[in-house]
Amino acid sequence: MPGLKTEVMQGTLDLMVLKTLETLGPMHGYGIARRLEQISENLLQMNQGTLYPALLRLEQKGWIRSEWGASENNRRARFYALTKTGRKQLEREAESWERMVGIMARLLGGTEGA
Amino acid sequence: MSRMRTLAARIFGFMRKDRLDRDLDEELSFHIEMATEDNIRRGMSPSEARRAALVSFGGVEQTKETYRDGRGLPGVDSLAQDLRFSVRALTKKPGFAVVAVLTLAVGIGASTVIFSVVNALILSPPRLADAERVTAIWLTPKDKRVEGYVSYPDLLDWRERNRGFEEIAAYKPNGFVMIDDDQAERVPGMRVTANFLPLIKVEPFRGRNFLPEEEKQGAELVVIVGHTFWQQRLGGRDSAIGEQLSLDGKPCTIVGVLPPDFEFSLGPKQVDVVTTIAGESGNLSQRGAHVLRAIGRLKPEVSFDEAQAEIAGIAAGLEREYPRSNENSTAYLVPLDEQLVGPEVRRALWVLLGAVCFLLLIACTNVTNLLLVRASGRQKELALRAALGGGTWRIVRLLLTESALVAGLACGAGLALAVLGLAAIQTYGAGQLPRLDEVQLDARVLAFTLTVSAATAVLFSLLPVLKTARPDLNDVLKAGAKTTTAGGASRRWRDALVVAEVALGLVLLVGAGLMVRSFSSLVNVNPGFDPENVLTGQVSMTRSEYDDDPTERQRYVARTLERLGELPGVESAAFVAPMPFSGGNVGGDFRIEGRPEPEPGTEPSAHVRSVTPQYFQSIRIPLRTGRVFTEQDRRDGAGVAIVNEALVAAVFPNEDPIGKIITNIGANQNDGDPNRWEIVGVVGDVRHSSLTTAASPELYLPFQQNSWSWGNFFVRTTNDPASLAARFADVIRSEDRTVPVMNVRPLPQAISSTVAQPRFYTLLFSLFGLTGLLLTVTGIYSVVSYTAAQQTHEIGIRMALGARAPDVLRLVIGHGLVLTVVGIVLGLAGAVAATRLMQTLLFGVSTTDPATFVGVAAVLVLVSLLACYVPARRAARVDPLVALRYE
Repeated sequence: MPGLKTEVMQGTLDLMVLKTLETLGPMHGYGIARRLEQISENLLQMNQGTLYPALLRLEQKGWIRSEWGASENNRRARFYALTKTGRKQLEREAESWERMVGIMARLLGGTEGA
Repeated sequence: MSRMRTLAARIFGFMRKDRLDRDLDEELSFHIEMATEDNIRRGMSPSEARRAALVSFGGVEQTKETYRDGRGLPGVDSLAQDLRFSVRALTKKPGFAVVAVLTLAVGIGASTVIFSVVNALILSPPRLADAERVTAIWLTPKDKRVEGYVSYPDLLDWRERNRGFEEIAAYKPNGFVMIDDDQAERVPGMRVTANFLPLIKVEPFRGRNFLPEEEKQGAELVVIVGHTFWQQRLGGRDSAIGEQLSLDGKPCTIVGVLPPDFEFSLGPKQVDVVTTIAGESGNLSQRGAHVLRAIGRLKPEVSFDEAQAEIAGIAAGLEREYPRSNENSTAYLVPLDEQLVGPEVRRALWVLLGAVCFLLLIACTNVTNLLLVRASGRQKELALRAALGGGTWRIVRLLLTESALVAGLACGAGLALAVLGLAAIQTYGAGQLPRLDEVQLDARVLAFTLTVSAATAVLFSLLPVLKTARPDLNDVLKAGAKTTTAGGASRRWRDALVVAEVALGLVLLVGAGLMVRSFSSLVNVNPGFDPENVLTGQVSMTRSEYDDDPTERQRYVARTLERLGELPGVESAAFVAPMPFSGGNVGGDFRIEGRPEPEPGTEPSAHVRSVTPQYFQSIRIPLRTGRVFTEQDRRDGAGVAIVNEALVAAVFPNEDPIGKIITNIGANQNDGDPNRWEIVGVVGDVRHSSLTTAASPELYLPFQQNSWSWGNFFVRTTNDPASLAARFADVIRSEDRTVPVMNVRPLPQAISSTVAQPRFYTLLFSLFGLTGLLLTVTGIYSVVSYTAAQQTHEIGIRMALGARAPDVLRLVIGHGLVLTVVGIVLGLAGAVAATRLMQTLLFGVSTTDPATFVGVAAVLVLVSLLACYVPARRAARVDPLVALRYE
């Protein structure tokens, strides 16, 4: 639905980036931003610029690594890719996210049933 | 784990800042370009496309900022920025920087110097293997705990009867006369017992240690030589072992060499030869010959107190068994560090450290004032920073960085000053302070300096930071901000600081003043003789002929005296043994004929000296009654004696001593000496060992009737004694080449060493006092000066309303005077309390000596008047019109 934009929290941005990189493979920053917009059908309200400090953080923690390469139109761009520890971190965070979603769902909708 | 990675990544990011900035720029422009192109494909115009791309990106600069904050070490970045700013600020106002740094450097340097002395002398354990288990053992009278030596028979009994000691040994510093090719020279060293080296855990470098039987009387004489001596005099040859040296006229066989790093801090500085105590010959068997210094090493499981009780018990046993020699004696164990550095020196050093702390506080107060003045001048600038979003913490950090910079520079300058100061101490303190060669800038001293610098930085920035951190922005930024600094809280703080400074300065100066007065009382004590124009030289008659035949000694001395008397410029000549004014005395008890045998412990005793007839007149010791010795008092005649007033007071309180007979003198009696001595004269008391201790009873015997094989020649000269020194020494030497003459010098030099220690401390204290005074004056001047300048506007108003120059003078000087007086009052109270700690350092003056207190207060008032006068004159000469316009 247009007009209902949800704000992005920092922790979830990390998870989104990691997942995107797992799906797309090595990708540059713009590509990641485009993918996030697409998937959320533009419901995500986010300044694209906030992506870059997040990418820096993830790289500092060792979950992604970066490399300069050539883009589709032969321009110099920086590509990011998941590392092995990044993959593991993704699994862990995805799990805990699912758990959290489950708990919240029960909490918020659990007046019926028992 | 990921935190470590992050930190590592951040450090890397910090170091490659520029490269990474360029990369980021490129990355972001790529993003914007791609977004723009996509927008163009959607149908926007190029400029619209770009704008839309930027909008959906968000703030590019903000992104870059956030990115950079996450990337490097932002703390370090801003610190570096602060530092650069501080350096620029300080170089813009070099006057402030120079004064602040110098002031602090003086305080830091002085405290570093004193601390390094304290560190070496008090805080560092003595350099001896397992020093805590080693103690000195003093044989002392029961009621006094003073250093006392022991005799060999007593030592043997101590050794035999104790259970708590691993070893008990003895040593005796000795200057040996070594004769080589008929040339006599003096060689420093020690006599020791055979177990001495094992006790201090030193093994000979070559050869062997002494055997137990080699310390006994009559044993073959053996010697261990020092390493340097072995290298320089014996060529470092292994074959030197087994060769012989002539020491004190007797051949000694070399049996070993000391290791190169040998040191024994209780002994002489330089040890060239070590022999056994067998060389003491006659003294060894006499239980009353207290010539050996005893040390012991405790067994590991024995406590100090247990050993002390045991040795005291042994001494008590000996006292019962040998009442003649051991009456009224007990033994004390003395820890090594106390033996090395006695309690008086320690107290003096702590007092000096306290004084230097005062100096440091005064310096800090000065710098705080300087900073306050400077801060109030920058209030507008700092308020602006705060208004622009600088944040209190950043401003405080900026000020702290400046203070740290000043403190850092002062620390460096202070260390440089300290190096100079230590060199001066080494030169002037030589002989005054023990362990002086250990005084240096080592790790602990440097740590002290750094801590002190940091502490002063915190201290002097406290006030300015607190004041600056909370300005009321509105007030400060308004026009006319100057008036807020002239009055109100700002001025009150500065005034309070000046008061504190004056108080501290007063305490310091009172301390210095008391030391100076004490010293001058000391120097004015009448020693009981006149050392001016007297030349002295020490001799040692070591040929065996002198030992065997007392008349040989007497003939030698008589002949030499005759020739000395013939020298032009010599009024009288004499010989005496033991050397007076040296603290080394030989005492013995005696009996008075016709009196009942006294109870053990109450026998009369005195220091015994042998003198030639012209002795008393050469030293100008006054004769009270009777007569002095003459040539008629010969060896074959009746024995005669002279006593001093102290002896008369002790032994003949209500009778005339002239004519009484003294017998059984328990010291240095040779075969053929008379055994009855008639008292023929009484002379005045002489202070020998120090000017502060009262004279002891003394018994003088004629040298012709009771001789020693060593002693001092004295001549009284009509003119400067130093000019006669060479001929004096020549005459003595030419009379017998095997008798070396040593320490030829004017008598005042021989005794000034007893006042050298107080002189040293007094000098230091005075130096601190004067420096403190200087700093205080500067402090008063700068504050009064600044306040007066701030009041220019107000003064202008007053003058326009009719005030004249004298009124302005009164205003400014009055302000300064009030501060000084308040400071003096506080300081007096503080001084009364503080000087109580100095009590033991003072001689002849009380800790609350009114003259000193009043004098110092007067000096401070005077000095403060002077300091206020200049700013006052400047303020009074201001043109009212100019002042009124002054904002």
